[in-house]
Amino acid sequence: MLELHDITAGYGPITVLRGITLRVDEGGAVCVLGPNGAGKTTLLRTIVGLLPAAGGEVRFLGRRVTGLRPSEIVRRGISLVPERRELFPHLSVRENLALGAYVRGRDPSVADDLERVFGLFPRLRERLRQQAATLSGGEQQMLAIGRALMARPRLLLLDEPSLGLSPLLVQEMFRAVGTIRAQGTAVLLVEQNAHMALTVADRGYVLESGRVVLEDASENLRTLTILRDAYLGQV
Amino acid sequence: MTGPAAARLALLLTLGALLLAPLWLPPYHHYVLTLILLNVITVVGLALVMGFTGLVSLGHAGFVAIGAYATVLLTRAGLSYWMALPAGVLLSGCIGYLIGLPALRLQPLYLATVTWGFGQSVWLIALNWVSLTNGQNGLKMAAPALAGRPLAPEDLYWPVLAVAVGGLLAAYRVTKTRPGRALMALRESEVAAMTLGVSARAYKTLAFALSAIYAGSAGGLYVGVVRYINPDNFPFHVSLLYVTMAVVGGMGSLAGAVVGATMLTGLPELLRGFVEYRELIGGVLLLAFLVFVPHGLVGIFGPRIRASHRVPMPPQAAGVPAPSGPVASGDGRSPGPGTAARAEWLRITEVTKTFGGVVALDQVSLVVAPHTIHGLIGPNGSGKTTLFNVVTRLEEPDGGAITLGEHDLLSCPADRLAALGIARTFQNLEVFPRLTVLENVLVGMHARLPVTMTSAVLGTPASRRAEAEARAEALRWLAFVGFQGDPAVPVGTLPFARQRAIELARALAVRPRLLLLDEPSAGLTFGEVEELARVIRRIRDELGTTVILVAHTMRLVFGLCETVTVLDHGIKIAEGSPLEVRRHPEVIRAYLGPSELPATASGGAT
Repeated sequence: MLELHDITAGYGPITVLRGITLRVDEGGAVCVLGPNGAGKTTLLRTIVGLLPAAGGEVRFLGRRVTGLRPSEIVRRGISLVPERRELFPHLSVRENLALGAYVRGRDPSVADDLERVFGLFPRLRERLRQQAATLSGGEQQMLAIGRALMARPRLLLLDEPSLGLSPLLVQEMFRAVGTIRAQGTAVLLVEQNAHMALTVADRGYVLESGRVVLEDASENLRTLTILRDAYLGQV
Repeated sequence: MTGPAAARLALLLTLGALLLAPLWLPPYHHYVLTLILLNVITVVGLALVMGFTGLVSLGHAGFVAIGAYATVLLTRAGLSYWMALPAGVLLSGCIGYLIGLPALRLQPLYLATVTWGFGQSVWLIALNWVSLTNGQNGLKMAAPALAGRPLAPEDLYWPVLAVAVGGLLAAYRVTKTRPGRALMALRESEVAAMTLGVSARAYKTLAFALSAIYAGSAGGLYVGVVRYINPDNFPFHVSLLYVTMAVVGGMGSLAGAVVGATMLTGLPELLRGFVEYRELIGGVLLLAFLVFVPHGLVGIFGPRIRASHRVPMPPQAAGVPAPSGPVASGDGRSPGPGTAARAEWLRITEVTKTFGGVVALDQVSLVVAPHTIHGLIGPNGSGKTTLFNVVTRLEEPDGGAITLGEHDLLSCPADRLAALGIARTFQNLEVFPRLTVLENVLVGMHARLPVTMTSAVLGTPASRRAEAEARAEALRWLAFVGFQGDPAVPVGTLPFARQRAIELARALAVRPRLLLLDEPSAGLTFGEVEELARVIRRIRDELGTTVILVAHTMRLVFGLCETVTVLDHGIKIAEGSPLEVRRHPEVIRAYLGPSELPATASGGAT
């Protein structure tokens, strides 16, 4: 459903992505691993149009989306959960979620999706009136994912959802990602917790210096020694 | 020709042209040039406040007026112009200091209001205190004399030029050294600047006073040229014009101040025919620039010049020895470096902190042995960061005691802790994004660098040496944390994890004996966590620093720490060796989770 062909992108004179080709299948889950500075966040930003691609093409559901505005890309069904969550700190949990559904206008099914988010993260229902800034780190991450789901995406991009979470919450978070996928939303996941990421995803890409250096099924990647040393540790 | 060399040549040519200006410029243009230089003086001072501290002053015409009126009144009282001028400047600086003292505690918007009120007051006083200022009719001043000979108005060009060039040089020196970095650091993150020893109030007030001195000089020199003043010279829109000049040229840059003042003084004067449209043109320009060129004229060309100022990193990569050896000690207030090795226990006794009705810390006691790595773990929202904030004095506890050695930390303000050798990093990262990598680390040395505002302005040899040594040391700290990149780029342009490394280098630059690390491993890959573990171990072993480590990466915590404390809902639920803590049923229930995965359970970060 998502196809990247030879994408290059960067900031000003600095090239970060040097020819990325990548694909996510309908309903699939793909993870992107790699050291810091490899271009993982830049990759997600380029897909959703926050950063213009300098070269190459992004196709979604068979149509070219390169060069479209971020709002149009959301409308077509891609939502990003950014690395630093980027919530609206002074708005309530309810308002944050409502804004997630902004592109859908007065769609009556928005209320159903609110229930779906609460099904995934019951904690959010308890905190409905609370300001987003006063939530704990784990709850903020839940809200960020919930807000992205409110746009009813066909593809969800997650940038390090486990960042700063306790081991227990990391497990909860990945369980939720698994559920989202099981409900039919495809997932593209950037993650440092390679172990967890490869458990959830069925395929993985390894990025280094803006290039894809490895691409394989998750179970194959997990057995590779190079990967073990850099990302997985001794199992 | 390289960038810096070209810039230097351009600067020399400009200076040469200015020196020869009286020879080739027609008298009227020469007069306009003098006005331009006067505005350059004021706007450079304003840029110090606006660009470098992020505060807006809408009352700078008031300071110009004070400098001008004081000079005129003192000469009329019999003083020579050359005595009256510095006295007026001093008066303007003192009033700036007094205004700044209470006003700078306010939010920027209120400060703008207060300064606006100040400017209005000065104008109203000049208008209505007729016995002193002669009101609307204004005051005349005798021509300034030199060696008994009265000077022509155009002769005043020389002192004006000297003050403009000198003022620009002084401002440049301030911005490139310790006091300027402190100001910029306050603008970028007041919290982080405070934990590094920058006193917010002292620095902002000082900057405001300095900028009042610039404005006062321009005022005093202006009357030397025109020999007559009345309140109409200093209405509100003049203050606004100064702000416009700073914005159009480019906020946060001295070159911008020069360009803005030159353009907005020169153009209307040279287009005299449009005099009645001057304010309209100014307003439209301001709007246009704010909308289309928010970084000003200099912002368009600046990056290209900046890119050529590269600082080479020392060739070593990770594994370099820790910076050591004699470093200039602070200004007598700090206990100086080398204290890192002193063995001192951190004792936190029954500390409680509540936010509203929520108990964030409930009678937490903790003892940290010197030269150890002490782990602090617990669920999100369990109070770990609050404990850090209480220890670093960013939050006031409701009760309890905290001591480091014989120092009672609760009697210390936050900005004195760096001098005591306490440094920290932040969970959500508090770097100074618009400062370069190198400047970020240099702010870490603030508490022990013997460069004051005065010695920076004068550019004394001692201050230059201290700055050069500090730069070299900062590069070594960057190498220590394994930073391999260009230290001259703004930190905000770097990826998250690299910003983290710079924040760590900045904390190390404090030369702490106690270092608090708040989730330094978040967002790092397995390999990068290994590297971080090595660095933290070296911090303890080679620098003798005591480390308290908050992290959710269990490999790191269990592999490094001698002792681990576990918090849950503000209560200490477990403490002991990593092995004891990992098996503690409460810890598994509240934090680790039952299905702990092999990767997180293996624990061997060695």
